[in-house]
Amino acid sequence: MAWYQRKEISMFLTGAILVVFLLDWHLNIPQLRAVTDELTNWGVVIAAFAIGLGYVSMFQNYGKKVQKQVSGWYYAAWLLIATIVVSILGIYQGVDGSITGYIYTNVTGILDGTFYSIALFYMASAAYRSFKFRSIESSLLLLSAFMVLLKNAPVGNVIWTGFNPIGTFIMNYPVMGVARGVGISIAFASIALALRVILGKEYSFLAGTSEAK
Amino acid sequence: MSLLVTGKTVPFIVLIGLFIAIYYSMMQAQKAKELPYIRKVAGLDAIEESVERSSEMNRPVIAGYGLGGFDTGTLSALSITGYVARVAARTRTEIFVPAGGDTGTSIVYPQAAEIVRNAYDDEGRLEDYKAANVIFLSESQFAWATAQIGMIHEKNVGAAVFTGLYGPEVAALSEEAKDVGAVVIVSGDVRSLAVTACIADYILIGEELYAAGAYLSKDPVQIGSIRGQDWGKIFAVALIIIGVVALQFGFNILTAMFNI
Repeated sequence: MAWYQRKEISMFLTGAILVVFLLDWHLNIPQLRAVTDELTNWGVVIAAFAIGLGYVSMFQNYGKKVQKQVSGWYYAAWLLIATIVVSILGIYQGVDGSITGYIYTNVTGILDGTFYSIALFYMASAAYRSFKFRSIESSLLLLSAFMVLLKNAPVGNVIWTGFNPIGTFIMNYPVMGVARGVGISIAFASIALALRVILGKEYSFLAGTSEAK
Repeated sequence: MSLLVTGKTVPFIVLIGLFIAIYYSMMQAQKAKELPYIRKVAGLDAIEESVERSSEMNRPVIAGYGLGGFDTGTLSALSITGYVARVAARTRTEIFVPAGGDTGTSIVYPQAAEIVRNAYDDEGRLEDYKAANVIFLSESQFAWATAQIGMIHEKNVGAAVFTGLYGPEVAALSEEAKDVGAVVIVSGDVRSLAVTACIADYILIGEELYAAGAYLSKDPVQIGSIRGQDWGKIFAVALIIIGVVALQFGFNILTAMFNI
């Protein structure tokens, strides 16, 4: 294994860069800011290469499907054709070009919106299965959901004006309290994770294992 | 111009204090003869079982790490992806890792591919590793999600582990995975917690995701850090109580100190 492929180097670089960004967030040191700005720019460049790498992977996988003519290969072919056409148009016209803009507004945006709206039905299906009077917890979930649903639905206020204050109370106090509690626990867990990374104790995300190789 | 950024003096001191407390806890754990106590996390314990179940059923598993960039949530999700890959390699179960979902996450994709490859290498099953299974689907969020739904049905997955940052698509992914009879394990983001709690068989709430690397490693030093972070939480709760009481008496010293 080449020296630059050693895991210790990745661990050191990750920890060192984390310390630099951490200090830059808290300290007024112009030289540190220059370093973080430079590193951020590197990040942007590396991300651009990574997208390229991602598309190479995509073309290899879907290309094989087309080549072997596996079931549904024509979808893969359509994906590759669309990717190539939009990429060429994007390079030629830029992201604000008339044709790329037309495709985004009339195809991509609409498909995204469609999927987003479908998510509602998945949520309704999950709610139907879960909201049952079978235990104290699920009963509370059912009652809370019922109150918040009717607080947000225009018809709720017509049925009973009490849904609005009860629904608002549930959202502003129990829900907000839990969300902040989870937020605080995540913040402390992130600090502990950061320290483990700085000290080189956690590297499972570098090599997929915590055992030194 | 002062050395410390205005309004960040006290938070910086508290951060250093927390680092010292967590480090101390890690050192204590290293000296101890047995593993520090850590409560069971059902979602993490279920991973091995669900992958083994998939292996027995001769079905593959899908392990997504979300659409985040290099943030702490995604790093923790990558730890879990690595663990799923290790169990999959050990049990000779095929694993699919869908990448993409956002421009920022593309930078994580090569890392994820390397993690899965190393997991197979660690288990001595490098010959079973399929590079094509760590696949970049799309940088568009919903195209990425739709492709995963197709993958779930086409491959008939036996377990679906979705950790990291997800948007509303997590409801669709989990429901589709349930539809094919897969065991669904999801890390619940605060925004999607209610939905994931309804759909998933197991959820990782809040810090459970971030502690995954330490929990799964069974390394006393890493587990010690979790005890250290608990001290931090006790400190935060104490500060909140003191702050609330102080405000009732008209003292806003804590809000001023923390620049709230």
